[in-house]
Amino acid sequence: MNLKQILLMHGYGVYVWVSYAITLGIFGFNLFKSLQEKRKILKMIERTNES
Amino acid sequence: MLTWLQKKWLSPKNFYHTAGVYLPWIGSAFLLLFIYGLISGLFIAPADYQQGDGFRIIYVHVPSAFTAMMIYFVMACCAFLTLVWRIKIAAIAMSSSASIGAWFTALALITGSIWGKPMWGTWWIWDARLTSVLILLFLYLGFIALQSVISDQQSRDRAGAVIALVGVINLPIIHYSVIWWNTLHQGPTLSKFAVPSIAPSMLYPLLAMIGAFFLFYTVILLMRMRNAILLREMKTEWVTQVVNYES
Amino acid sequence: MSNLIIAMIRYELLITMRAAYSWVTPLLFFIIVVCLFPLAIGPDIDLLNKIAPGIIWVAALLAIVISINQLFSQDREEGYLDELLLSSYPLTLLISCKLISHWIAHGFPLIIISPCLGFILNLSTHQEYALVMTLLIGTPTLVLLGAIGSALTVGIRHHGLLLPILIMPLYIPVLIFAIGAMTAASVNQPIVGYLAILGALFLITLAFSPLLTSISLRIGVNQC
Repeated sequence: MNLKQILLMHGYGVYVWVSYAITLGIFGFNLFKSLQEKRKILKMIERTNES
Repeated sequence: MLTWLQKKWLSPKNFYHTAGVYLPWIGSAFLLLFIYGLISGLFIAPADYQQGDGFRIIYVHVPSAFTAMMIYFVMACCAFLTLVWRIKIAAIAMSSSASIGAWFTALALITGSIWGKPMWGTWWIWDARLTSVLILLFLYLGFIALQSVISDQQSRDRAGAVIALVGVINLPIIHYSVIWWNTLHQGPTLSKFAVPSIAPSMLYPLLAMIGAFFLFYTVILLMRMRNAILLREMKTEWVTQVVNYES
Repeated sequence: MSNLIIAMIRYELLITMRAAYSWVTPLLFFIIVVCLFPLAIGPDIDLLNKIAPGIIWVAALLAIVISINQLFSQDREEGYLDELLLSSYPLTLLISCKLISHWIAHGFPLIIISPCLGFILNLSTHQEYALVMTLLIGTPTLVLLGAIGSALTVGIRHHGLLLPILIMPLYIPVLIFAIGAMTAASVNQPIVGYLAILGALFLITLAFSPLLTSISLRIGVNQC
């Protein structure tokens, strides 16, 4: 299967790839948010411990 | 068995460390299943006879819908534990699950809508399954809203537990809605007791993706629970040690 | 025990009747909201007939949500709520009495006025009958469900529209079956099945709601 065939998926390409992209986007966003939350909390606890 | 549970998982401090040990393993398992599911779902599974390549959305739609309902079920169990036995870890798990559950429900609705356009010709229809999943989203959002307004930690846990338990009645309604009502949405793909009517080459990627989505939920849940534990136990000695170690 | 129940209901009704504002305004809200729709949608009689069940039911839902909002808040401010919580009588019983009187004061007027509103929206007699029956069985369920949300939010200042957000998803099954009954009535089909399901919903909430409300009340006033 060449690249064009994969992208188009016999006409359904838009739907399939958009859904998978949204899925990966939501996964990545949640992962990023959890890590960001952890960084924030560590920083906050550090600051309250220093003072 | 119970003492193992208690030792490793029940107290916040032990949970933090145990979850930290298991997290990389669960993450690796997730990646394995996810990559297998993606590749075989997108490229290896044969195209459907009726729907062509468009059916491949099933590999994100069904897992996300399944996981969204599983997450609410987990929340309801934790709510029960919080109300009856006042187990703090259960309350933390419940609060941390809510936003992930909302995201998965939204994902199910969005991917379902995108799938519906080429298949049924419409982005949305007010049938029983879609309406009840939309209600599930509202239940999640209401839970998050309630928890964000209450300032006292213990009241927040117990109030959230009550509202989560009250909403759990929606889960059987969602699951059986396609059986009870005549609806545009197709019937249940997987059933516990019957041999699935779907071909094996299409089935295995689906099962893998369902497992992968649930493992992803577990990863994010454990991460968020660890963050919540750090926040709640801020004043204790072991947290100070952890923070010093991390920075 | 029956003396207590009658006394509680009488007391709550007396308080509500004296402060007429508390039960008249949700009723007026109900009427005004229903009257807004013909103005907004236009005077097409057939169209109004088709959407009248939905309009009246949604307006009734909103009116009940508004009245449920202040179910426990005034008692909390006056300290009466603490007396209820400390009383030697079972809290579920006291709450049940409170809910009965709340329904009589807030739900019952809606049922009385609904035939008139159905008339101005061009409902047939069979539809009017279905409307009254569904409201009769449905509004107690709504009051019972709303009480749980009201008890949970009783301690929160400025909770704004949190209560509607919490309990509207729970109201949706009642709404769906009530509208199902109305749709059946509009094509002259029997509505007994839908009324039976509404009755089942009512009985289930009747069994669980006072207990859950008492738990939520204790949580809401921080007495965990």
